[in-house]
Amino acid sequence: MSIRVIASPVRASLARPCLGLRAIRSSIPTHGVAVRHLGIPPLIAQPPGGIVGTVNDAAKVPPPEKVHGSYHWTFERLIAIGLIPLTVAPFISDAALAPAIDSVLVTTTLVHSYFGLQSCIIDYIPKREFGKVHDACMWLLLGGTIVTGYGFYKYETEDIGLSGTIAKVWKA
Amino acid sequence: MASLAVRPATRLSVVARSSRMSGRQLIPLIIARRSLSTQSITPAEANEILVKQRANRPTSPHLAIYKPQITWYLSGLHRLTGVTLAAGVYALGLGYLFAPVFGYSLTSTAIASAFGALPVALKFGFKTLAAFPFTFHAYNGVRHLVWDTASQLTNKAVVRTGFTVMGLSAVTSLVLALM
Amino acid sequence: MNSCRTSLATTSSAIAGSVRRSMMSSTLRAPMVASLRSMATATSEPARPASTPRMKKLKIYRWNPDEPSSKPYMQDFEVDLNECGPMMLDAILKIKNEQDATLTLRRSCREGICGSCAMNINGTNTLACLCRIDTDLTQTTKVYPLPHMFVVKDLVPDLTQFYKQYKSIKPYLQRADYPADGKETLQSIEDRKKLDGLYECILCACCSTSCPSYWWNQSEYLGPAILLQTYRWLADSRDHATEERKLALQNSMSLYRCHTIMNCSRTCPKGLNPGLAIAKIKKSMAL
Repeated sequence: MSIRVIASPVRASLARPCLGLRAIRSSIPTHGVAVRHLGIPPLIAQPPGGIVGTVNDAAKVPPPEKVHGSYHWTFERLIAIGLIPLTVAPFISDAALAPAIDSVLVTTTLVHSYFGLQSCIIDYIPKREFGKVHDACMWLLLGGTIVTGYGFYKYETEDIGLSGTIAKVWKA
Repeated sequence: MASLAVRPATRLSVVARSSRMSGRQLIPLIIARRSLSTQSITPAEANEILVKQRANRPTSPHLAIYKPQITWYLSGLHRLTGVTLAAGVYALGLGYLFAPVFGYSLTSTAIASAFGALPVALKFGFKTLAAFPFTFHAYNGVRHLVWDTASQLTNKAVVRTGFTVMGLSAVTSLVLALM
Repeated sequence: MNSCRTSLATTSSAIAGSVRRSMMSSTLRAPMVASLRSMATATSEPARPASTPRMKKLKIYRWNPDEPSSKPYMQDFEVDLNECGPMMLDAILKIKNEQDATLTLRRSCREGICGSCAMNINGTNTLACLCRIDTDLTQTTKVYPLPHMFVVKDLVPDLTQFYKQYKSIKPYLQRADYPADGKETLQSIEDRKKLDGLYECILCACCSTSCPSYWWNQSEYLGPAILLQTYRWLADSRDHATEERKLALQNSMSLYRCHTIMNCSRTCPKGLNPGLAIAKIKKSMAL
């Protein structure tokens, strides 16, 4: 049985700052329940204090999905490792790469960018706070990446590709 | 209500001991204590009060007050440079595809000639601005890949590799910009 | 029981008791403080007349739940370092004893083993009892609660979610069977060594609340402290639940919000390395 103590006026006066010390107020850089994600207020109301259930319940463990877990992480690293030789290649070969190698470079770069931006969305526009907006961002990113990929397919076939363009601009 | 008889009594004894008050001085205090009233509530009601209090709680300051350190500053820079580079790549791919719709053409020749027409100082500036995100993200990416093998992850090594990456990317981007 | 404790912290009824206790502890500590000060004078500081006060300025974060509509603010205090112990906890308790009894904070052991007095001092998270007062009197020391946490009152953050997350990783030995002789589960000296640097964690939450990823996603990301604890059980040769423990991390939030920022290891007041522990978990789970 919990007991709630109701303070009488006498007690309340005991609780006030003693010794007549006046509080000197100055501004606090960030404040507010709404300021959570770099200033973006959540669209979906969160439970008060972020607490679901009683203080004695364990935090909920999400169902295991390796595709979003270790497989995703490992694939991210493999792509990043693959980018190392592909990034060095244009510097040691002469300027523009062969369209085949350049296509591999562009594809790997796009997948790497996709993972990086996906990570940003998960961090700053999380599903629990933004729901359908989070989903929309994810689909927009996927669609945007595919369309960009198609743009580069045309660029590779009709023009001189990514590494070729950078080399050409650098010498212009 | 039940505990009213017990708790003020124990409190009083402590007060009397600590402040060495005489009996007469204690009388006003006893009157003050008597004005306390207690109320029994169920655990569910207690939880309800707690949830109401939680709704009032402010978030403590974070980004603006945390000490600038190479750890999180370089991490932020890694993300920022990554997003910048990705934006460049997406802009080129999407730009080439959609420029004709708006009556422009974003061919490599067009970009190169537009860039070539700029004054040398501006060219150098743009090259540095483009080269630094690339070199930093590349070097720091390697640093992250080394970390993923669970090595170089001590406080000392994080600072050492951090400054190494900063130095290398500054030099490399300047060299690239001068090319 | 739990809810009773939490509501106590937010009402003024707890104050009378805490003042009494801290007053008692400061009188008990007085001879030790005096000897420490004379030692410092003998070795490092120039002799000065004892009458010259050395006033140190402090700015402390205040928020009172009894005035829920009021905004948090910084309050200025001054402490005479000649009359104060060497640690930040000494200074804050001196303020609470002598200037403002309503200043609210958690503290218990005053020797870095309980983890209660974790707070943000001069921009980094640390235990006030292990943090020396910066003796540069021209500098103001700023004291905030642990960053990006819901504030219960003044320097007291709500750690409920942190403890709930700790509970969710099942921080206890899980085995299918125990030795037939009914005695303890044995471990080789080498296997025991794997737990060094992990078992020392006191769950003060300094590391977790220094992590920007934990700031943005603490409802779902476990954070460095809890992940170091997860690794403590993964690395224990006596534990049989390794696969189940790893499976609980197989999602985008619990573990993989760690981007190796390394604020955690940088700030740990016990000198532990949560960042390395997390990297070891990720490595062991790769593919």
